[in-house]
Amino acid sequence: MTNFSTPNKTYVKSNNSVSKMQNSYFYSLIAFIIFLVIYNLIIKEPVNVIHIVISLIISIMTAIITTYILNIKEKKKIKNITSLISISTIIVLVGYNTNYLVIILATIFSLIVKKIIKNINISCSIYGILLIIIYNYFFKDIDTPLQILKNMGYIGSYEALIKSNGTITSYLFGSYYLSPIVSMIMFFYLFHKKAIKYNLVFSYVLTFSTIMLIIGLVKGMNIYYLFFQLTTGNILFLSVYGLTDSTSTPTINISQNIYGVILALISIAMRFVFPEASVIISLIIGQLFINKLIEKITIKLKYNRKYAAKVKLILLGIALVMTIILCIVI
Amino acid sequence: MVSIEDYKISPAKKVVDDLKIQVIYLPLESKLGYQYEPTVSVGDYVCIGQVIGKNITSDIPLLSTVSGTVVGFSEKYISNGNLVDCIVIENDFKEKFLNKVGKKKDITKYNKKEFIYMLAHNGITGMGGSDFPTYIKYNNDKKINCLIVNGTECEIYASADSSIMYNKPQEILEAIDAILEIMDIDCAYIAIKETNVKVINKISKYINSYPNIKLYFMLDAYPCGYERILVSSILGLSYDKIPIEVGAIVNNVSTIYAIYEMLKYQKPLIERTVTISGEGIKHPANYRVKIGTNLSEIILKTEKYNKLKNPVLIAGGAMMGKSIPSDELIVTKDLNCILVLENKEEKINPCIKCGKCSEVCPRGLIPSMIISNRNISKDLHIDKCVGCGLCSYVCPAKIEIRDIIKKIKEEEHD
Repeated sequence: MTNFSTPNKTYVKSNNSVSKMQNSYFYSLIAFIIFLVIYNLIIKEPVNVIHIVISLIISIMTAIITTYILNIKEKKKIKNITSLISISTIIVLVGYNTNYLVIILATIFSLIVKKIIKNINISCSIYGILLIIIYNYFFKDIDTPLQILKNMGYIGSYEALIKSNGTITSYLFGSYYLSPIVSMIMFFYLFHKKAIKYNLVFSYVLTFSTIMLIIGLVKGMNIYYLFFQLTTGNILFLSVYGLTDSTSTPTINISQNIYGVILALISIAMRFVFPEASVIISLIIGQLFINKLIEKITIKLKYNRKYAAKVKLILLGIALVMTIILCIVI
Repeated sequence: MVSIEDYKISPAKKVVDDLKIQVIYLPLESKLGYQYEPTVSVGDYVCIGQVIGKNITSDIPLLSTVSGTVVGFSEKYISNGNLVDCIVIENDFKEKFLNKVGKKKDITKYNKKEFIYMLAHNGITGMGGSDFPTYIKYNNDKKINCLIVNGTECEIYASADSSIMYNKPQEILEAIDAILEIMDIDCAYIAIKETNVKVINKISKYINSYPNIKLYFMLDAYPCGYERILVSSILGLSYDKIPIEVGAIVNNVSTIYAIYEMLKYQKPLIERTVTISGEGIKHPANYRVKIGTNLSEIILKTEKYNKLKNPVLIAGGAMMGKSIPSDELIVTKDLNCILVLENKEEKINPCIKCGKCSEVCPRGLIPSMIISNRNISKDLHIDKCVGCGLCSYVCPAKIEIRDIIKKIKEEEHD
């Protein structure tokens, strides 16, 4: 007779793990930084490259020190350095042309919020990004493409919107904002690595695009209006890195779709009030309020088809009304 | 469904069927909890197929699987991990049957009543792991439109059914044809994984002679062998509790082969093919053994175990199986696979709410929510959980979701 241990478990496991998922985000962000460095070396001034690297080092150091200080009472060791680097990288990527002090403050602010809210991971960086956007708004005198659009009353010709700020290529590879094309590549990388809640990105971007397309067409601005809206305001970058944090977003597919649609509607509404901060505001509202609300109704959404259909109809109605109002007002 | 790399033994590999096991242990409790009262005493001589235990709630008797002498009672493990009393019979290797009628030429010449009676009294139960009495499936007034023969064997190590289909294709087809005729069923589908090419080729050679029997290729993904998935894939129908609601009956390949032997030779269910595999087994193979064979004796007769750091013995598959404390494990009708694997310890992280468990759940549950909202687990349909283990498999945090849900379920029932 031979004796064996008797663990209660499933004896075969997939090779996916939390650390692998976090690493996938980390690698994609590193790839983003490399792209930005190379792009700046080729297209712009090499001075920017030094600024990016220093910002990154400063932000990572700040993140480590802040986390250490925040955990002193609980005597917790810093376990997940890759997560801290990811947070810093997101902040630096969005605010790469901001000064060092703002980067430090944004990093500290993000980690304090992470400590307070607890169940968020790298998406805590959106709070730091908000700080950067506020700083840029008040203290930097730059006319961003979105600011120009606002000044034009949200309507503009192809020449005014695209040509005045660069070319289609420069929009795709990132002129003032982070490259939408690299954001899309990273989305597919994370999707391939099974690390991302892709439903959130799909529903968010699809809703946003549909409404912007309708507005553009109704206002006689053709498809370039949608192109402009999608390539400005870091919408694709933030929908990949700010929206998809698993711990602070709904669990099941239908909830994720609804969450994405609601956030897209908020983003669109904010686009015409605070254009630069529109995505960030919607992400923060989503994380603090809408996520909890949707998780509360998840059981009904999952098991009560009529209820789910009602919610979908209501959302569709809101989207329609919003589109009509925007078409009239603009 | 999720595609999982499998470690199956080739169906073409020879089935080990020449083990002469001296002592047989027949459990007085089945996997489903049916208790048997012994009808024999120590010293009695028994024949194959003789009733040695009776159950009050079920018509399925406990039959002797060897001829020999009852030498006592002993406690052994069965596939659900329970230590149960067993009738111990010393095999005299004379293979004396209680009622040996001889070979029947045309196995379709039975009527429904006879067939159902035979299923019950020959102890035919689900051999895919359910142990559910087969006669109950057939014993109803509803018209059966379709018989689905489950040959998918989605557990990643199990290959017993494949070896039967590969080695006995004509017998399987003959039995299915007979069941269609006897029970007046319109058609039958044999569900096989699309990647099981050797078996598909073997069955395809003979299937043309049976116009009412078709092959159905299932995706090579787990749990494609789950009854509900089979019925919805093949018939496009879903049911509430049992497949007969939509006019279907699902039988496992091993059960069909047992029915063949019953119809052809009046042979009760006395033996089965079981896969013994895993990294802890020196020579993984499929074994054709008597019901009641003790695993430790098979190991003694063959090769010993490979040395592992922390070995775990699993009755059933790697996904749904149960760990057993010792190899005093009895091969019962439902036990299709025995594994010895390394118990790999993995760091468990807190749930990150990635939702992968709900994405893969074949019953559409939200396992992570059930765990975090135990008080409303009923509203979250915890009772629907079939314990397939897919949630635990995909969980990136390595949480043993299946077992936590099982515990919550047990607590609720208590």
